[in-house]
Amino acid sequence: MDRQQAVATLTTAATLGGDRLSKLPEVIMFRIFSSLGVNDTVRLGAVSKRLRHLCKLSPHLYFRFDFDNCPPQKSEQFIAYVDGQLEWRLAEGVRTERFLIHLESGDTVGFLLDCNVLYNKWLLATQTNLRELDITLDSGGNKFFLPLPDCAYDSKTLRLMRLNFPRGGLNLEHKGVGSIQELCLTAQELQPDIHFGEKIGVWWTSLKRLSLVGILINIHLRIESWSLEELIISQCRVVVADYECHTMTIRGPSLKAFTISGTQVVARSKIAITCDSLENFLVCGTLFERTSVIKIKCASLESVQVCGCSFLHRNLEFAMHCPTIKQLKVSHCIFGSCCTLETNCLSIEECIISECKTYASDIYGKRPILVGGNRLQRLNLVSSHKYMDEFLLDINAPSLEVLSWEGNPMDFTCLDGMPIASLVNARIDFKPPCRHKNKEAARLCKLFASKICCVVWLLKSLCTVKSLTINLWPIELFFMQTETSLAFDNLQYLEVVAANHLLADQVSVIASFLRGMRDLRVLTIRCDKSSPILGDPNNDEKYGKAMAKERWLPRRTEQGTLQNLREESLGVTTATQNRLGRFVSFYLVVLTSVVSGMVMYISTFKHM
Amino acid sequence: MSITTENNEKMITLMSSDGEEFVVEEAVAAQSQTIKHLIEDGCSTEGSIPLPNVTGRVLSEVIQYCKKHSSSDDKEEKELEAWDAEFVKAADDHVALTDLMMAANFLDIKGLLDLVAQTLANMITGKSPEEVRRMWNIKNDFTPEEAEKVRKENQWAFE
Repeated sequence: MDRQQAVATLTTAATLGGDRLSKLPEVIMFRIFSSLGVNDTVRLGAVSKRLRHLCKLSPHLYFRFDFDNCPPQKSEQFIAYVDGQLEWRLAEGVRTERFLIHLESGDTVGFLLDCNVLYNKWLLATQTNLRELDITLDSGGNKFFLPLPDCAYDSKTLRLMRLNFPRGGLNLEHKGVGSIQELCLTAQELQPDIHFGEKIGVWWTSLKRLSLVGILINIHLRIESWSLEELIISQCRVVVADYECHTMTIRGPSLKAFTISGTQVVARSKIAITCDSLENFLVCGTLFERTSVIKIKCASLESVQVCGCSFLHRNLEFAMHCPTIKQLKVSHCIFGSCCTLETNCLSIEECIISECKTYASDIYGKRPILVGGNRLQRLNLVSSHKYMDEFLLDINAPSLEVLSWEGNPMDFTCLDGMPIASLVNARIDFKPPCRHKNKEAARLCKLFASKICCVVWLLKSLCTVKSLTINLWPIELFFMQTETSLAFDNLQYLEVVAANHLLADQVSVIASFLRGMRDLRVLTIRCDKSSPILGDPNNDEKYGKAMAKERWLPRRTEQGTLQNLREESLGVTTATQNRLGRFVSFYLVVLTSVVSGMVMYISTFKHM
Repeated sequence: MSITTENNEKMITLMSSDGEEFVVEEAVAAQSQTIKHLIEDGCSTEGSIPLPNVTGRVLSEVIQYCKKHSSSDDKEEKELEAWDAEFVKAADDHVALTDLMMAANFLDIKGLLDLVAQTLANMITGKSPEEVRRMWNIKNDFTPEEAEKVRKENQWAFE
């Protein structure tokens, strides 16, 4: 800070008396107030006259009071304070935008009396211009069911209402609620208001977003709403009487998103969704314990996500009748033995299945997850070591073009070894979960893995691809199982990825792999680290250092090794009846990616 | 004055209240609704845009924020959050924060306004009146009678 600036700062500090907070304009102060916690404005009001004035005018009122842990005069003070504030506001016409009130008590009866009186009185007082209402009533004793505060029915400005009754519930009336757009309800249970869903649909005419959180859903839920855009069911538990089947019927022409998360569906259940405008359907972290049927019928749904769910019972039917669905994503799920994931839609283009496991619950044993669809074009798979022999898969997709598969190797016998005829582009990246420092141990491990993971089946099913990106690991395994190479008749672009640096014996593996490729045009070998054999074998350590310094500039010396690699592959191809003649041009492009992520060509040469 | 750089980015000049000039890309400056409107109204065509309410020191911080937030994509949200936390930490003392708040309000930059408001609120929340007074150097200007009245009224909110 130069001298002039220092003086300027000093003078401003002096004129303001150092008290910057009180000098902030009202608008800014209210903005800060909106982020404060409960009862903060009450404490702040005791600081100075200016702050007291501001706190009284604040459009955000946040109060919390625990009736149990305080002497009676304190609760009287509290009630008197809030009363006073609200009366004053009403008299002066001071706007209240947000009103949050959080009351706790162990004594249910007295508490209920208090609450009923209080909240109707208070809420009437705050009715003017109130936009957000947040009520928490927590009594330690018996269950209680409260009606919706009158102001909710009468208000024309209220937009958002959060009701939190952890030990009770809500009783809705048959009465129009015109202005509320968002309702977030946390309660113990929905009963005895058995027509909760119907009332919401009929009377809440501007409701756009409904969240049900932490509720015991023990009634059938039937919501038919013309205005609802988003429905969230989270941390709930769905239970009905033993012999009954719980039904959840959601209909609405404007519903865009439906989410079920962290919910436990204990009862047999039937979920039917018919919404023409649905765009997102997400089920996550949900447990379906008994026979469940989920049916979605809609004309605009494009993406469905199911993640972290358990379908434990043996009958699950998940049927999607949506002509527009493009993407289906299933991840981290556990499937019981008889689950049908029926994607009966011709439009499905991309299907991502990752980290799933099938679980045998009966004598029928495990069934594979059937992934199908006549128009499925892109399939992304991620397999994990955890479910290595439990992730069974059956791909039945006649128009599959792009396959991407990464993760840990698994039992590939579920692929029947028949080439996927339509496949054009494949990307394979398998990393074994184990790491070995010792070379010998690594070799033994690979040998062992080659016996369980039938890479042959995998590679055979890829035989028709035009472009293939593959890491070295499956290729090495392949040549441990067999000597002969596979014919990749259409392959034109091959990229081989070496995990660290390319070793000398891996070069011969790559060379053997190239044998069956008659039409190969571009070969790229990528190493994550600089490779000793791609450097000059006769050179000393200076080479490595120089490389680092000179930003990986191409060097004459590398040609030698590349020549070796070329000769080796040439030798092989000559042996296979000089198919090399078909090479229009053969570029050997070796890319090295530096630790920083920069990629540089080390050398390129052309062979006719 | 609008000059164009090699990347075809339109540059504009902002002038602080103490006469310091800052040349920034238009996209960066336009995060401020105020400046955006000034540009739309053609105020930037000649000379620099004067910002009489903002000192150079504060403006340089605001620009730093805008630069970061115009260059980042949505996917880097976590990183951006961490950066924001560091940013308000760097403007540690509350004098700097209130200046920043005023500037954000004048320039109408919603993200910055929310960030600083939240930071200031966090500094106040849960504090007793004495702590707030000490921290912000606020004078207790209540008369003894008033103080007693306030104390009675607010008693319930204190442990």
